[in-house]
Amino acid sequence: MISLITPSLFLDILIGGLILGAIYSVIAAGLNLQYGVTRMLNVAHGDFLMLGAYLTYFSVTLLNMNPFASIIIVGPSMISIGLLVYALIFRRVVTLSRTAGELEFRSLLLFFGLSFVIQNLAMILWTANYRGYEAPTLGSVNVLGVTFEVNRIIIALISILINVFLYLFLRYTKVGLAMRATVDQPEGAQIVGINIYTIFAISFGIGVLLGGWSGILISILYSAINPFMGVPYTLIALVLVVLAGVGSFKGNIVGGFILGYLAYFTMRVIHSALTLVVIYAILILILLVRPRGLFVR
Amino acid sequence: MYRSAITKIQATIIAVIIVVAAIIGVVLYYQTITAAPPKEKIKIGYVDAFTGVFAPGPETWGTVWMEILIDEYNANGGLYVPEYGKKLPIELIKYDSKSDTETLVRLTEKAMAEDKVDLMFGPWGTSQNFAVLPLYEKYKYPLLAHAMGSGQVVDLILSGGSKWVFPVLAQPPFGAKYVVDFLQWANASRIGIIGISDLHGIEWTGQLVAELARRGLSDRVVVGPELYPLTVTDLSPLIKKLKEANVDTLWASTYPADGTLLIRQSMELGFSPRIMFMGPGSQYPAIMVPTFGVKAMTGIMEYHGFEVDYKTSPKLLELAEKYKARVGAYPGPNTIAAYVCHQVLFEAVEKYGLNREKIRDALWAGESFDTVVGPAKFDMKNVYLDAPGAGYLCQWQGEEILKVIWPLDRASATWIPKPAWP
Amino acid sequence: MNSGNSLKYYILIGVFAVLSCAPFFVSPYYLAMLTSILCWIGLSVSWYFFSGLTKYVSLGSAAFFGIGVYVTAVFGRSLPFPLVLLLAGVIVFLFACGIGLVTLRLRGIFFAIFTYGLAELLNNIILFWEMKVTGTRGRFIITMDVYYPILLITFVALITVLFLMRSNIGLALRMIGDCEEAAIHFGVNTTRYKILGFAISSLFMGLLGAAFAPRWGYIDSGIAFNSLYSFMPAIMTLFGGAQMFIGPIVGAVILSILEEYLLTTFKDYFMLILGSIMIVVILTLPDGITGKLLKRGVKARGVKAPRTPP
Repeated sequence: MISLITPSLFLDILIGGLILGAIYSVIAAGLNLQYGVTRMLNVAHGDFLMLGAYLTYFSVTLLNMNPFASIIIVGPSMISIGLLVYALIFRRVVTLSRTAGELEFRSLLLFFGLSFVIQNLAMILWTANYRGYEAPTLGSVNVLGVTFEVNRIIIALISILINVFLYLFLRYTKVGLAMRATVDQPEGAQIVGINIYTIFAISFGIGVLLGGWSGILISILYSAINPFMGVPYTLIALVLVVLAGVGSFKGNIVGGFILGYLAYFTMRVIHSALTLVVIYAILILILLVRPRGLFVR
Repeated sequence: MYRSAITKIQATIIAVIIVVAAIIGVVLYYQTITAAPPKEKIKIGYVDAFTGVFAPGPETWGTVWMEILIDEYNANGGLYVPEYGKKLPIELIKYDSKSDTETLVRLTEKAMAEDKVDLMFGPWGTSQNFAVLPLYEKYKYPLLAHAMGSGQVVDLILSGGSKWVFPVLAQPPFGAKYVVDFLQWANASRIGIIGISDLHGIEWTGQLVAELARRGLSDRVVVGPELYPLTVTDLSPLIKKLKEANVDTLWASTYPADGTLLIRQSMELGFSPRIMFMGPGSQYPAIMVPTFGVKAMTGIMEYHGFEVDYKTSPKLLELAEKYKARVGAYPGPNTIAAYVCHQVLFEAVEKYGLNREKIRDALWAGESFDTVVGPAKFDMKNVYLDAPGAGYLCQWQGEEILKVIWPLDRASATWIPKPAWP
Repeated sequence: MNSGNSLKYYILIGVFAVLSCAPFFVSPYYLAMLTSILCWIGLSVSWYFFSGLTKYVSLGSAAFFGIGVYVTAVFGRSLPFPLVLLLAGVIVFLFACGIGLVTLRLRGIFFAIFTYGLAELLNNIILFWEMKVTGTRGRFIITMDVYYPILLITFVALITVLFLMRSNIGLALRMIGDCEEAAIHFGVNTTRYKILGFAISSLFMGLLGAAFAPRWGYIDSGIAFNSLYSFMPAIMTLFGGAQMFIGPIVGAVILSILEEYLLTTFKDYFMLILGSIMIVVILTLPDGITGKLLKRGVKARGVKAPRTPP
């Protein structure tokens, strides 16, 4: 099963894992942010990804846009959806819950309900038939004897760019700073005058936005869009949050790459059916050694 | 002291729930045993996954065809039932199994035992068909399995384990035979075998490997069989393996999700084998045409053993157009199995009445019934529905309606080697 | 035991007696519904015993249920049924202990996430095993009526949980749920109790899975590890109210009947309606349907509910 690792195979894994890792980190970024700030676990994350994919599909087929450009439609739409959902559904629970534990419990049920609603709405509106659009095929490029698809490279670059923007946002803007403060010290943040509820709303909205954007990227790679496609991505995002440690931005990126490498290596060298098994095995090992995740301070 | 306050409330709630549930149960139960009204229509039960992860299956495969069939009959007054001497309109009763086996089993039992439907249309998916088979046996309904492919059902039938299931598509053991016949005819030399790691992929790849071994051709397999999980997001490692091994014949048991991934990544990585089989993953014009266009699809083949070229008769073309009017694209070549097999069932009813045991015996005996693809009969030795208008392998040849290319005596066009990606 | 508690036991036994007679009065479909409801009650109460008390949300019920299903699939033809159940119970218990050892040292949310993927993980492992090692693909099992086994197991689960909640382990789990640090300060061996609680909870889920499997005639790993069983027990308990023992029962009964009704009446919209109901209930009754009752009971007495052991 395990073939000899030649230099070209090594390079393939080096770059292939990187690309996959970048994609994973974007998929998980929204979830990580949401949970880190609000302590609510969004198990409907994959469904927001699905919405992003459908929005891309419609932008491409109805408005003749380039899927990469559909970011300008998906962006505002997803943020609006996120803020709306938050205002309608979660704000009340946030204000009513007295402890973080209570909030976790209640919001979990809300997210499950939300997941059902979103999936069924999508099915009623768009049927369960698979949708696909003609994504630009940009061929492949040869890097030191190993081929990689240009599409994937571009998507990886965009993922890295999204992560960079996120980083800058969190580091240098007032809102971003407030978010980080809330992650670290919810009570302390309130004391210095940060309106926690506004921050919650914004984090939630951005989390949904990131979910939607990852949906764009996935739909470019993977043309079988259907209302139930989000489910496996929720799992990836959740696993990554555990690996990285909650609320840790660096952890999200590094964790994403670790996951990407593990997955790619397993698929390429061992056996693709074992991908999840290997990931979980490594997860168990890490959790045994560092029970709080890799990067929690 | 406060504890007994809670206890009383708890006790009251339990009691109330039980009483209410009991009342509801009794009421509903008695509702179903009121006197049966005179027969006004034919009721057909259909329980399938209309939501959940399996939902794309029935949607892209058989549900639309079933509705078209019923509409056709109803437009002519309905289904003729000899014991009433007249035509009765057909009503399709659909229940959603939510892609959950327990719900599927329960609602199937509901349709059979409570609603007492006259006939049943079977669900999509091999494992789902297996799950409901015991019920079909218990309540004596023929199961025309139009979306099922498994060597295990062949074993079951041949060993006499079940008399009520009638697989329509070619099952993997028989399928492997005609596929290898074709591979030999087309001089496949370096074969790569991959597939999705569920029942479909496991069985087809397994049977293919076994048949190749039986004919001493195992040395032609240079990559695989390698199965990947349903949730795969990147097939480039596999494709690179295939490319490195100079595979000229690719067998890929795919579903639409991974199938589109395979095509796209093969295009980008420049992997274009001369012979390329993809399973259900490639046969739906609804997905493939908007995503890749007919030119890119040219050369790719499908293998399910009930392949129909809709251009071979005016009636077939008319049906394909009807499908397109509803769905927005032409149907896949073997989805019409859902239409044809139930047409066989209806023809059997018109001859034998609603006597399901007689119908079963007729189907088992290989009695032939008139359908849109010619006289169709169940071949219970090779276990599939045999009709002159249905071939075994089909191929994309530059247009939205696929051509049948094997067996040669049923082919509507000659096989072409797959050209390079456009 | 004070009188309030004995009353609960009597009620349970009474209901059990009534339900045992059901097969004589009820048609097969409604019997199947009843079986299903009972199974959900069993799963929800088991989930409540650990996750409701300790507030460690486990989304891994499908993994344990699935192992039970799979044990029946593998051994159902070669061993007598009671032995299969025993085997399933032992395997699930040991497996849960193992998982608990690794993950229960984590903060709650990691535990939830880890358990969420467990079912899928087991699915993949078994698929791979079947593919490469045994060469089998799914198994046929003998179908049989499972009403009585499910009824029995569910009621044993209910009585066990009721009993354990009054014992050391129940109190320890509750302490952990209220404030784990305080529990540790009190000298409670939280790790041991958590693992034990988790294992017992999973044990019943495994037994239910093993008992339920014969309804399906054919089992493969995808059918066995269906994610529906992962989150439904949690949803049902939270919906019914995770504050009291009766919460999961109420939640399971209402949701299963509701779901069946919606499924057969509003075929295309049922998920939408169900999801909306869930959202509305949590927004209006944040502690679930029975949550308000606990507070009302407390208010009526003017006493604050004692939460720490004497």
